Amino acid sequence: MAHAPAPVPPLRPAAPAPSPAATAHVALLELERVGKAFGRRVALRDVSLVLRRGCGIALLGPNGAGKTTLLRVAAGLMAPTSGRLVVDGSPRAAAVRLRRKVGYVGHQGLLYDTLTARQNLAFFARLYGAGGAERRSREMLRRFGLERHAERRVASFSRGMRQRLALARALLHAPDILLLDEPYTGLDAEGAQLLNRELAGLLENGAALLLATHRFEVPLALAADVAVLAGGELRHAGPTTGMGAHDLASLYDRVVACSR
Amino acid sequence: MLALIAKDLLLEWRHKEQLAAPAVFALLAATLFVFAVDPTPAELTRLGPGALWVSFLFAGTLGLGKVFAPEERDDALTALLLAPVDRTALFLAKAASAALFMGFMEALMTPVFFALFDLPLLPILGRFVLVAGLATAGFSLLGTLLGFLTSRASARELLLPILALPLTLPLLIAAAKATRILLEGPAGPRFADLHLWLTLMLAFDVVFGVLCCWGFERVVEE
Repeated sequence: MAHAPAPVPPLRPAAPAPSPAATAHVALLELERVGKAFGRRVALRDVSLVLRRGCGIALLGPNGAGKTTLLRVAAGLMAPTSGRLVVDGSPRAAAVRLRRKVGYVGHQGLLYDTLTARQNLAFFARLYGAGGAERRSREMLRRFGLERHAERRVASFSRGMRQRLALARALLHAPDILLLDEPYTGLDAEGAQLLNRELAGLLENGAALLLATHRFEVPLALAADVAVLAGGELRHAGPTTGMGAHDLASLYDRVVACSR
Repeated sequence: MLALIAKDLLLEWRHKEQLAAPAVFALLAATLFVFAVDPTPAELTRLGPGALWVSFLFAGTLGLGKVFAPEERDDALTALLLAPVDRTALFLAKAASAALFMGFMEALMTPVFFALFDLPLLPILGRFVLVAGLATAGFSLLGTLLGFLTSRASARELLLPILALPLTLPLLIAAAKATRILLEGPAGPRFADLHLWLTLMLAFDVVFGVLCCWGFERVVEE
């Protein structure tokens, strides 16, 4: 795995430390032996993870390991081929209920580039049934430092601005479960710091976080646990307690090397 | 659902030049028909409805190819699918948007067609709107699903008409027959058959509406 060139700015305030109480937190989303195949190609095999209230899990893995597929299955975007998802203790019968709880950031912005930033957020706020869509969209634009660009079409945004707006869209409905696929991509230092602050705040407020990343600093700052995926299988899952970035990198290299 | 339709209308308004292409295409097809066949008034009553609906369906196919175009850029479709909205409602909203665009094009072009073919529109207007509504609804439902299925295909401009036009053939026949019966008037020999063609179109809409909603729900999760 390539190490990221730019360090992730430190959290402010400090990330919540993993505690025994946190690990006992209630499960918001459980993936039970989830598998996903596209024709004969198996993308995920028997992956089990539990996303708990107030806890973050960093999802590491080489390119093509199945991280994005796992996030899309967890978000209810794809039906698993085998296994099941359990939301708040009940099986995934109510997909709409799962989607209401999930905030998702993907590789792309998931935005309408011919609408303005405000129109995008107001539209999605309406879809989520958020009352006062216009007020909520303006509030999110302010939170992500985009209020001056509210009336600009997204097509004219830089990569970093687009990513900020994508994050604003994902957090618009105050989701309980956050599924983030490389959310630092394109963000400058200020944007990354802003994201860290938002994620730390959401964790403190009891959200669960599953964050796919190639940056080893991120798990230590935000996630109490780390999961390593390789070849569609979960090769390691455990706490990050007491680990430094170097320890994590060594662990990752060992796990990935064993899976080859 | 209304939010989605309103958003589609706003986006379409921003690209209104794209709306002109199907309308111009339909007009050209009808004009070519008049010049190529040089029909007599009796032939116009017989052949005109077929030419009218073939033009509308070809022009509609051009528009349906772009039903999911706004969602393709920047993968906005994923954001739509993430929303806590029932997939059937999502599909019906997109189909309603497609029907509105096609209906708008038909509303613009129908008076031009009838003038060009020298056919009376006003006496049959009410019933013609019913025929057009049923035909447009069925074509939009089927076309929206096919537009979604082909949206990520490399040759979608080719695939969509190849898939859509044969499947909409019963609708095309029924719409053309019903329009011809309307033009022949209540004294015409086949006026009693009108309700049969209307029922056929309604049945097509219901059957394909249910199948397309069911199909869309399954396809988006794979």
